[in-house]
Amino acid sequence: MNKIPHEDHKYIEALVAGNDLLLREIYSRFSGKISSYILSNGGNAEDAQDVIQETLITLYHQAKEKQLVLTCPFEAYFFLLCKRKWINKLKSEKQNRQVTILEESVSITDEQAELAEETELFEKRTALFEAKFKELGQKCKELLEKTFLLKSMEKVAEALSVTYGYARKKKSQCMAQLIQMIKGSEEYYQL
Amino acid sequence: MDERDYINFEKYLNGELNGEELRDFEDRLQTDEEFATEMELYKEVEHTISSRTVNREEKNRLSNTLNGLGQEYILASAPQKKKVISLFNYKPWMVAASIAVIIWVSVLFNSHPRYNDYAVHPVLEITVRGISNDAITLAEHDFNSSDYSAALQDINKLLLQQPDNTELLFFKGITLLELDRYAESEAVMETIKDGASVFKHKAVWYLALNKLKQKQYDQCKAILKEIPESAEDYAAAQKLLKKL
Repeated sequence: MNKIPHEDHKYIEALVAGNDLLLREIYSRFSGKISSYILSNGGNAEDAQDVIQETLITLYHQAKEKQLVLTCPFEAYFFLLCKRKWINKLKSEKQNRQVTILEESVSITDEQAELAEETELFEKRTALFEAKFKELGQKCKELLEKTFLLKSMEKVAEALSVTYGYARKKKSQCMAQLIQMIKGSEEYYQL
Repeated sequence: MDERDYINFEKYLNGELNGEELRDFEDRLQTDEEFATEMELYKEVEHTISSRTVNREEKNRLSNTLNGLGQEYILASAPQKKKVISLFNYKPWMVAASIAVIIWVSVLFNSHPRYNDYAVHPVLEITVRGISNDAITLAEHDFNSSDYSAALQDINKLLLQQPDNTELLFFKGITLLELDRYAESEAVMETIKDGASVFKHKAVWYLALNKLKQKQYDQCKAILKEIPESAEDYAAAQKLLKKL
């Protein structure tokens, strides 16, 4: 089934293409509301800036890696993502800031809620992948990064001055190790 | 799942399985749920990490742009509302415990000079011809903003194009030291020290800082004594020697 993009999909495209004009429009049109939500819920301007930026970076990754298609208006979806990210941040900070979350009266359609959930799941999954990748040994990380950057295993073998056969074998081993680390983590089973 | 399975995942994804091997593999994907799930995860992880590795610079550029827009639209226009956390919100034992920790930490650190007090790095401003500006901008940005893991990758990329550039090597040495990769940093700085560049004496200073960071005070002292009076870091070296 082909998804029909909403006209606001232009904002997703802007993130991928680095379209400065449209990126500016995202901030000028949507950041005020999110920012005042965060300010009235125990956060400051820096928190608002972080939440908005992290959310946009997630959307960039989702567009690049999963061909995210925006099928609903951007504003409500973006607001929902930022709001939930902020609530999660508040929850994860153990300092128990005395904050009562104000319920905003934004009507959310099922479609928007579903799309937001997909984005959140994507963010959690890929954050886990990245975190475990960082925990790999230096040799494995280097070899895998080279295989991704150089594309051909012949070039990787050459760059690392090892044989082609060894480079290939090592790549499978490193990937196996990474997969095991991901599967062995508690977070994986909460996804 | 064993090692052969992963080798087969790799071959399958590269379209290198044929005939009977391919049939067996596809049969197993149909019948063995765990195998199929693992294969999907393999594909997803590889796709994610690969894409993020390849697009790292693009993502950093986007982050920079968003950061600037955030400053302009959020930080500049928001009323300054500071989070004030009153001391009274904490239980007395917490206050007492924090004070104890502060005293303990200052006693601990007063006995030896600290790496962080001496590691004041020069600013990275590269002027090399023949390298695209983006790559340099990124390296400068990452190094000067103390994002050393990113900086190391940037510098390594630049070094691929200019392997003999001593300035790049020197900053690579600092970056490695910041990442606690002591032996590698030492190797780089030793090479520079034995050369004839302007970074020759600075490299010795960084060899000393390397030992300081590892708390190998005697070795640090010995290296500091090698720094000649004419060197830029002579005064700092003498000061550190006294503290040691």
